[in-house]
Amino acid sequence: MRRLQIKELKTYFHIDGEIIPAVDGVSFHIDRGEILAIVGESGSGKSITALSIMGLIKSPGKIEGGEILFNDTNLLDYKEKQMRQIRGNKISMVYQEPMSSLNPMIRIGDQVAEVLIIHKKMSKAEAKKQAIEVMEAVGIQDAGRRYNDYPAQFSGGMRQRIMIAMAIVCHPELIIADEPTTALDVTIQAEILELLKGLIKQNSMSMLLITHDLGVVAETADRVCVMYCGKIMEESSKAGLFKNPLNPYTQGLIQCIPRIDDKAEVLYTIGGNVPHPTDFPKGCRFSTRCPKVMEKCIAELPPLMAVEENHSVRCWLYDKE
Amino acid sequence: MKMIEVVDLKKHFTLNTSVLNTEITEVKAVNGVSFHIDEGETLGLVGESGSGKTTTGKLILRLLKPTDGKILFEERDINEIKDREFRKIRKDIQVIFQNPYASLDPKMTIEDILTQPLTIHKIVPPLEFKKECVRLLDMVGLSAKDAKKFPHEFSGGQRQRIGIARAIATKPKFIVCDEPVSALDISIQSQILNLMMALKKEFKLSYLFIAHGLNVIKHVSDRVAVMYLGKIVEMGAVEDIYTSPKHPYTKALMSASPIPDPDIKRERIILKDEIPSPIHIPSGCAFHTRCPSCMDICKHKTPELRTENGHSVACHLSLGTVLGDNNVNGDGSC
Repeated sequence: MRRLQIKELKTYFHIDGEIIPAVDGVSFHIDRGEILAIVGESGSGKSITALSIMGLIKSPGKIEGGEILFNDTNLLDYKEKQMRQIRGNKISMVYQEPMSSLNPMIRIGDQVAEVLIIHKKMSKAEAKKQAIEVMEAVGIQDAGRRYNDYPAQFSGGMRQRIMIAMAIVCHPELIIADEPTTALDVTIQAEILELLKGLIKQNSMSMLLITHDLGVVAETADRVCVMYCGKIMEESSKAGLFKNPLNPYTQGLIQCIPRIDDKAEVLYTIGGNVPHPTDFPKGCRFSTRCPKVMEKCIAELPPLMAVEENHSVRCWLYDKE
Repeated sequence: MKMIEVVDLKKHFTLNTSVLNTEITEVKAVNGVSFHIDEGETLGLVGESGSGKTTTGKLILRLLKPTDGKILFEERDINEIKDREFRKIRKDIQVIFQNPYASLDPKMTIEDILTQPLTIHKIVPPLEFKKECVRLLDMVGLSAKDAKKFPHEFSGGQRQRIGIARAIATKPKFIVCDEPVSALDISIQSQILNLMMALKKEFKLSYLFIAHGLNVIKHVSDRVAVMYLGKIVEMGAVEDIYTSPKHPYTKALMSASPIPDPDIKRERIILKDEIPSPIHIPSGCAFHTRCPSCMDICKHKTPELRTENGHSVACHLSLGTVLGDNNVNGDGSC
């Protein structure tokens, strides 16, 4: 069953008379119990995709077109008041920075319980009881006592656990995790990813995992979308992407990471820099850096083509005509 | 030849916790660290946040004064040298910072940024500044027309190239690289790493390469030191550390580092809790609170760093000091 289906989403920013197509016609879906990862470099539009789903795009940004179907209803038709019923309740978000996403002046437990008081109309006592249960579920030891602590008394990894507790306390159907482990140490990262994965699979929730780290993708996701300059360049099952990457961009990304199980003298590099968003190339967005660039790539943007089952790529190399 | 030698280096920061200063709390950021770096060698320094990596780097740059211990640069103790004289040495010891957005003055053009070290250290006569700037830019893969631009006109990767150009402007022998690629995108990381390795070869540079990414450290280092709560727990040749790590902490780090290949199945060692605060360093072996193979002795006796065939480990398990003591808590409880 489709939990979330995004069709031709366009989120543009209008700054100083210039248009920045941050998300430019993005389509993907997430099934029930599935973890979809969006990988991309900075400026690829992955975080803006997440904020668009949450209905958190503020001026000068605007959703210019497309559909965001959540359980087959288009969220873009919802008014702000209706979105508030969804946000934190049916769809919740785990942010990158556990240090700055919690209110330093409010007790940890109250911040978790607040979600229940607002969405489930619980009494304070009930909410507290349930908040403590959820805090235990995400691995906070002695949760009853720590309920009254302030964020400053928690370490980075513990704060991220609290963020996850806040995200799952209403049993949402979809969790959007935007770089949930980027600010954490590797040993803590491993724990947090295991925790998220376990929660998703146990409760048949769905997750949109946003990351720049292909290692995290390899260990967590079921399917992967690779984004570059506002476009999806490749979409595949995890195994297909790592075994048989099709787009030269994906191939480059996988090759240029130094690996602990390999010793190459000189690393593979993708030449050049990510183009500025006001100045995206007319044809394929990657054409300015692509080692296999052809004339057609500069002239015309390739469509996302299905090459195999569960594997599509946006690249003229795979055009059968 | 030893370029840098660090002997039992300590840096304790004092925190005033009470108004009357009756209680003195110390953060033992670096707590007895010894290593050396040879000419043309790269020592990789890994560890979690709070392990003291950056403080070690700052001490070597003489940006901080050590509480105890010695730092020898070409066999001279840098903390015994007078400030005025140290300035001459400073050009031999340079630094590349983590955040290329914060480490370049936004009001200076690239040419100004690169000319400053040339002026201060009298690297070339003033008439040749322009030519030298162009040469430096060329060396790091930027063009001569970039000289008149300001930092905001560059992307993160290009800014890091400028940071590298500034570091090599004084023709240094040794560079402290503090997480030089952590802030960069993956496709840019490999460009910068290749550039740094090429420069190292060309100028026989020595690097102290600080990073938390084990894959990056593996790629750049000749030897690796693993730090935990201000101490080196394991050090050795890069191949030894990665193929046969001995310390349980190194093993855990290795197992937690994600590999971009879903086919590789590893046994993941999940450590409980997080790195303790450096204010309250656990007794005995500092790692004992999280160690999956903690023994009784670990709780009260600090293991020494002992070297065998160039591979040093500070762990009671490897030291064999527990002959006949089989009191290993298999469940990891201490």
